[in-house]
Amino acid sequence: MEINSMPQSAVVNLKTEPAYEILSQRQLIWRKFKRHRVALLSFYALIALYAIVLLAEFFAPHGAFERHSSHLLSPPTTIRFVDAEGVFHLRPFIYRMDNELNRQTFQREYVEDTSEKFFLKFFVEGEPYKLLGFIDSNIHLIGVDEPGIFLPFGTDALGRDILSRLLLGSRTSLFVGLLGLAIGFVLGLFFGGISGYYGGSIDLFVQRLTEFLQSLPTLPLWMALAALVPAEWTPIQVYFGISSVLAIIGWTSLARVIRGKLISLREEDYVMAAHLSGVSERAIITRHLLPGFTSYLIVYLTLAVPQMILGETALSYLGLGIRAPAVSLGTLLQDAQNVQTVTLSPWLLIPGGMVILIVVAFNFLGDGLRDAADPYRHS
Amino acid sequence: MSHDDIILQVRNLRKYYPIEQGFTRRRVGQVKAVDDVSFNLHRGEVLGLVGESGCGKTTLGRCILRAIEPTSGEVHLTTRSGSMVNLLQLNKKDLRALRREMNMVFQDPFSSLSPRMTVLEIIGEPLRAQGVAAAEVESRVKDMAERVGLNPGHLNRYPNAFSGGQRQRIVIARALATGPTFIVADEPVSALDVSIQAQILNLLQDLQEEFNLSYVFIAHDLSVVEHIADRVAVMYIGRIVELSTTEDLYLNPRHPYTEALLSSVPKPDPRLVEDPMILTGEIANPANPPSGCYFHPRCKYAQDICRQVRPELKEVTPGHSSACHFAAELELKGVPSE
Repeated sequence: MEINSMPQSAVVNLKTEPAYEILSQRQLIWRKFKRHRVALLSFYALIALYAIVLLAEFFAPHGAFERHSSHLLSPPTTIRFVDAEGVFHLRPFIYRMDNELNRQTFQREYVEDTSEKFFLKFFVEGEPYKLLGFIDSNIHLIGVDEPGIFLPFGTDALGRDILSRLLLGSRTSLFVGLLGLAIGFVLGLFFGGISGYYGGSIDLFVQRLTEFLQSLPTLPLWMALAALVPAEWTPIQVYFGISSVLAIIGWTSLARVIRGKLISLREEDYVMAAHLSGVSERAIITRHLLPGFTSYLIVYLTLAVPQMILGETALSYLGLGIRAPAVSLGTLLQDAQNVQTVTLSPWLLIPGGMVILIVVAFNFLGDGLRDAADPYRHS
Repeated sequence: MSHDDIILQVRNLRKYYPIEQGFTRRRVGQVKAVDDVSFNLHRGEVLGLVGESGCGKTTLGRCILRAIEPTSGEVHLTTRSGSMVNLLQLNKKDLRALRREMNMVFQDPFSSLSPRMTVLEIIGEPLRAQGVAAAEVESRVKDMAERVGLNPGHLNRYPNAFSGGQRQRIVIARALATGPTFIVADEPVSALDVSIQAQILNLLQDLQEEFNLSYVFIAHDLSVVEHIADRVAVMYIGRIVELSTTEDLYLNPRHPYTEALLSSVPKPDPRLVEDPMILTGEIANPANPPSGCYFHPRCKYAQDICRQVRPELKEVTPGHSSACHFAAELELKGVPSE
């Protein structure tokens, strides 16, 4: 009786184990990824960028095709806090710019009209648009009252606001990258899959095909394929066509990665163990083979997006990709093709900065993911 | 033992790997990894399979379970229902259903456990593959884990949290999860520390007695096999060169190769100073084996006949077969078992 009356909790405490936290693979990857600061920053930046370009019409101060005929090739508007009289204003404002002919150089120059201040405002009414294609609106995030014109990145030769076109163009380029990648992913997964899983003469054929495609110089091949896209296609069809062109070239390296991974995983003892335990082939593929390289796939895909974007930009820059009136980063850079631009209106080069920003962000994200990809490797 | 007791019958099993060369994959030869192997395994018996690295023991074990497809031969397994089926003639579906009656314990407990599955998922996988309901899987896995000496509270951890010996226990639990009658143990202790080897060997022996299992126990040295095997088959370049009960093989080896293997077993008594029999030469290249008896270039008893005629595996004394022309005449030195 003495023993039985001992407090139960003491006995239980001796038996209970210290609580271990069991983390899933996803949690482990996220933990590791968070430690890579630049990658984390790039990750959030890209999410923000995709969100902004999806709602480009709202964030853009003007419509992408809206012409300001009095402001052709206008330099970026300066945002000011101190007015011409030297008085400080807490609210940022701009002056309206008017162009004048310089009598000495005979060039058109933009001069600020300091007689009236236009304060920047949130949610101003402007050019009507359809948000996400179905929400009617005419509210823009930032703007000024008429007759002031807010042109933060200047205008092009037709008087269209560069910032608005940049946002819309980035949307095209960012999603061409994803679409091209999706098509290339399916092709790569298919060809790499059959090549690695079946081996033999199928493998031989696919590998020689890959080598053939990889040995062709990329740009002439792109150009030849892009020339196949009919001129009378609508912008959306062209968009899809260009994505496919990029994908047809892009799948080869992915197929190689998948084939290699499949071959090495197929020979793993634990795959043989599953096989010997009577696990079906489908379950072996989905439970043992695929999880073995999904992390690699994610990394690979992240690093492939900027290549696709650069491909689209290069094609459009050469006039073979997306065509006007559709806007992409490549078509925007087409306007900046001459020396005159660089000297007289350097703001037309801003889309180039955007390309760099996107590519660098994707590369850092890919780097961070690669480090985090296989948390078990190091344990 | 009567004929009915036979659980596994291997007949003329062969596995040849073609050697291909060049772009057109021209066949320039073949490696006879397993060449004309036949033996019987009785219910509840442990057959040790020993030989040097590269002699084809692992390939033989994998061919028996059809982990790799043999070139030719027959493998008959007595199923639980009592009928004998030729595993090599089964289609995929029937073979999968029969997987519950046989399984494999792997050599390397690190590569044979998926790093991305918890122990519960790993041990439960054969059960799920045989269509056992999810609720039942967990309780059966817990029982099995306890049986092999794992803490059932650790089942939701990943294999990287376990030591080599514990991981081998997981491998064993997985192999036994579906209640098989026949197990191929492919060097199950050679990747482990010596201190752990005995534990795992004892575990395998206990389980064998408890469930009346039949093992084909592959090992590369005779000392491990001595403890667990009822009979021992010695392999050399794809062929069985001697097959006997363990005791008889140790006391009266009938093949010079076995004699050499026995003399290489380390003896724990330092006063027993004797010349170990060192084999000269390398193990022969299985792609280009010597003429006659494959062992003759390394055999100190070799005669002319050994260079010309290949000896067949023949019974020398009841229950003791040897593939040596002079099996009956030679006085070979054995080792008294402890």
